[in-house]
Amino acid sequence: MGCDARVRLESPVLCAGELARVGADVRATLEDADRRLTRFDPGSDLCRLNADPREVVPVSALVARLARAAVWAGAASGGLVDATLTGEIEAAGYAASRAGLEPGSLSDALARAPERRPARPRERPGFAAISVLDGDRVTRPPGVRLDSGGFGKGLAADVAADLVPSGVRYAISAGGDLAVGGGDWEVAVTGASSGAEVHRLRVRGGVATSGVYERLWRRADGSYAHHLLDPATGEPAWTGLVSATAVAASALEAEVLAKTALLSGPVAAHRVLRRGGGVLQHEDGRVEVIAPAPVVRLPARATAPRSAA
Amino acid sequence: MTASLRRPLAVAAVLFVLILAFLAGRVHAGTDPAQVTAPAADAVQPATPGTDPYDGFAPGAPPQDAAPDQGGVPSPGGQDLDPPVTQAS
Repeated sequence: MGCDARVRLESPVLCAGELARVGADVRATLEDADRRLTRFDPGSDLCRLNADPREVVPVSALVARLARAAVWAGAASGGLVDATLTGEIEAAGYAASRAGLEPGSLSDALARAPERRPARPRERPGFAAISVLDGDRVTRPPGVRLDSGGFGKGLAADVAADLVPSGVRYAISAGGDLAVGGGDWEVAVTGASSGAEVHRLRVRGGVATSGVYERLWRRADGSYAHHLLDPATGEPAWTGLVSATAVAASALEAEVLAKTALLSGPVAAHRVLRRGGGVLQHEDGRVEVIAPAPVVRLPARATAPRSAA
Repeated sequence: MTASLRRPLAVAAVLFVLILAFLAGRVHAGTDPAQVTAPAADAVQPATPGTDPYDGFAPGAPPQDAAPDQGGVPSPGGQDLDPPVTQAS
């Protein structure tokens, strides 16, 4: 998937050596996920599935989880987060990894971008034709190819977080999408233009940011493209937002919410983010904080036995 | 009203008043437990005193091919660590 990863672990119980061992396990899991889910290596589990001419294909547990996530994300986002736009993203100019490449100019891209409008789902989305059998086989019409770019990082962070023992505070970042737990964390949100911190969120579970500015390139015809596509057109979506940050129960869910918010545009994004809260960054530089819906947690009811009197 | 209903109703009323007072106190104090509104220096997430931190894949050094970011800068003694960062990638 081609992204940086960071892990922070804190524990009042485990010593530094034990934490380092947990950290090594987490690192190995993230690297394994990267190898299996990249679409830039023909030998990866994901590429082998995509190239397989059979309708029913045996897959690894991680790819099965990705396929399940693709179906869930498509349905939960109303078709906006469509993990089967692999051909379209390649046609847009993203056929090879862009890790380490300098992104194009955001201001120039916004000046040349077409009319802003919310993205729309496809009439017959590819994810609707995917299903997972017994956790180890994927069925889909041959030719429907999965792309891990939509939420592979969040999924990898969640899988790695499953390894952390209880009693350890952890923050696992896969390309800026975080799984955090063991307590509340404050997570900084960076500005799309400046890269400086623009807000700080309190998070337990997951937080992710989706933006048009990091994987941004100029095409041969002078137009700019990025990796967040409007499923209805197969072209990069220009909605009026340059980034959306979402807080949710897991990194995967946060990543899907963030993409849904960005693709929905500035108005509908409020509805998308209102449950867990988040941050919207507009093209004009405005930073808008969406407060999460209030939650009142009452103490659990005591279950003491009734008096016999 | 029967005697059997009086007690649960009284308990419910007392609970309601207590919860209302608690929420009113939180609002009055200006705190929102789910939202920190500004990047203030004194809002940095500190490591829990007495804890052993593990920060980064190789403590003291960033992983290869990666520039250190705000979420991976080790801090001597595990205190005053910068918060993790979410960003588009």
